[in-house]
Amino acid sequence: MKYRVSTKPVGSDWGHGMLRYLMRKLGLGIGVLLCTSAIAFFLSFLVGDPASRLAGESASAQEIAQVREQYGFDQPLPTQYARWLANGLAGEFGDSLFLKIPVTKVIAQHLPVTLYLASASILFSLIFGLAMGAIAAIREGGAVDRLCLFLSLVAQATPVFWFALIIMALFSFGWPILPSSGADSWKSFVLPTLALGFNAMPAIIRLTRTSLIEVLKTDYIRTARAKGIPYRRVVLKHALTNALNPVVSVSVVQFGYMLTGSIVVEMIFALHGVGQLAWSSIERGDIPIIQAIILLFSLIYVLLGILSDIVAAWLDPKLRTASHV
Amino acid sequence: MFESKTPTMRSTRARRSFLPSLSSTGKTSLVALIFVCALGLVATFAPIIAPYDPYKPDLANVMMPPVWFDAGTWSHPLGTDSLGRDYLSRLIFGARVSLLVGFVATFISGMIGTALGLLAGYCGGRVDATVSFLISVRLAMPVALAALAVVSVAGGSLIIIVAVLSLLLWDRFALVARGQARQLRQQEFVVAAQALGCHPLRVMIAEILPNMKSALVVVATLEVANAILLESALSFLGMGVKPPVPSWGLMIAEAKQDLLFDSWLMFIPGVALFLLLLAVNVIGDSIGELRTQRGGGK
Repeated sequence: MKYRVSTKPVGSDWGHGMLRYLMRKLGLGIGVLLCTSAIAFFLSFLVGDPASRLAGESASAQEIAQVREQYGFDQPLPTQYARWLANGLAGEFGDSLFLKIPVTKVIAQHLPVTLYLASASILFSLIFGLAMGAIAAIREGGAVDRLCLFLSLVAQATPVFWFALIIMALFSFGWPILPSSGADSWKSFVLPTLALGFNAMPAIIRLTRTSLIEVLKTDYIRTARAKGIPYRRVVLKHALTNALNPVVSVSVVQFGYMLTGSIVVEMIFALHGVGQLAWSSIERGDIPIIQAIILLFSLIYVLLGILSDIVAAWLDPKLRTASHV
Repeated sequence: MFESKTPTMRSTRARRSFLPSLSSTGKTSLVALIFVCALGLVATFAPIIAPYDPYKPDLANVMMPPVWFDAGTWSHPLGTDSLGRDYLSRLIFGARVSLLVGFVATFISGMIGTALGLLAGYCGGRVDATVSFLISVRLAMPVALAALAVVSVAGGSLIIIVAVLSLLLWDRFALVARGQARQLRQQEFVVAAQALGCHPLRVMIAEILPNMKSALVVVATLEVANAILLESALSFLGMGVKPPVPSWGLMIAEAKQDLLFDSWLMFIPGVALFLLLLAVNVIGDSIGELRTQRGGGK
């Protein structure tokens, strides 16, 4: 159902090839999710014995055994996995071992912060990355171009957590205009967004630049120029839309990275998002939450992948009829 | 959906406009190469070069500032940390961790990824489908989370971190090796080797592998930077190398509490990390550029 809803607004010129292609990708995505969920499930059992965590530190061996039986931890792992997966499909991931409330509820509480942060960061890096990449491409080889490349090199070599601490030292302590922690107002999101967005920017700058440089050398751009269309219009309307395709797919991947990158940033700025939840759950050995978060992140990644395929097809009509890409 | 759509820095046309700046690019990458080699030497001979024992606390000289501050002295050029340990010595020993993790993890993951990609690209069919699926699964796994989870179980030792990163960072090698092998498979010299009756393994190792070397080297430099970055992030989160072992990420984490008054504690290991990553990236970029210039088209 999902693919049909998303493809509808684009129109009827979608060939069957594209539909079949998306179907195949969807099937592949489901297969991938099955695998990551299995890995997440077995991996998190390495973290510790859930029964002894649940029973508490002072529990006797008998109590632990009782808990083990009660929660079904005594059954073979494949059986447990099948049951976990079946419950997961119904949106039921059990209770957090530490917080004693349903996992879905805990994650629902933490997810908005991370989604705000990741969306704001990708927006930030897209705006600056696209602008700088485009300017660099137009002035290829010039001083501005080299400045943009230098900046992207610097951004690429700056560890997120170090950059986050620097801007915190500057804007929360040195010149206190922005809060260093909490999520009370939009101000609290400025520094985390800057930290995460700065990290994703170089990939977008470089990609926009190389892609636009290639497009600007094509015949149809020369034709458009020869027709007397102003250069600015040629770049913005003709070249950039065509150069955008690889940038879309990379920014989708970058968005996926941001979800994990937010672990460090949320830790530093004390934001109660999924990243911080993941970290503290790993520390506490809260298995149901770790499993659900890994599954959630790979689900988002797979969905974003399918979305980027749809956007790519929408941007590039050639892809719509291609039966295999 | 999972195929890499990232175009590499290839440009098929002659870059006349770039030629004048080429010599400066060459100089920059030479400086970067010298920096990395020098750091490698310093790390190797750390016990000889380091002025103090990086583990030995000296409670009489706690939190001494670096030499460029008024209170700084040449006895501790980069100052001392909150336990009075010499910061320069810790920095020198920290280089060992970063370089070791960066190069060893890249080497192992490079072998895994190249083998998988080579098989997939050369054999095609089912093998290709399986490897492509494996790559998709790997890409859909959140790396940092998986690494955190494993390290929290197995404990943060250098060997565990190298092992975890090796098992997580092979995807780009596999993608590139697969693409290269698919292209090279159709070349005359490969077909000729096949016609001569060479064993497929021989064709892969003796004919195809040497021809994708330069593409793999570019990936390798990127992955070295990636591995160094991940190790420092893991150590920063307290899930990497355990204290008192000096790792640059851990040093930044330890300096976090003194951010307000002694921000140099956070700054120094960060600059070291930044310079190393910058140098590795510069080297990777110039190898990539050299490749496109020499290789021209395909």
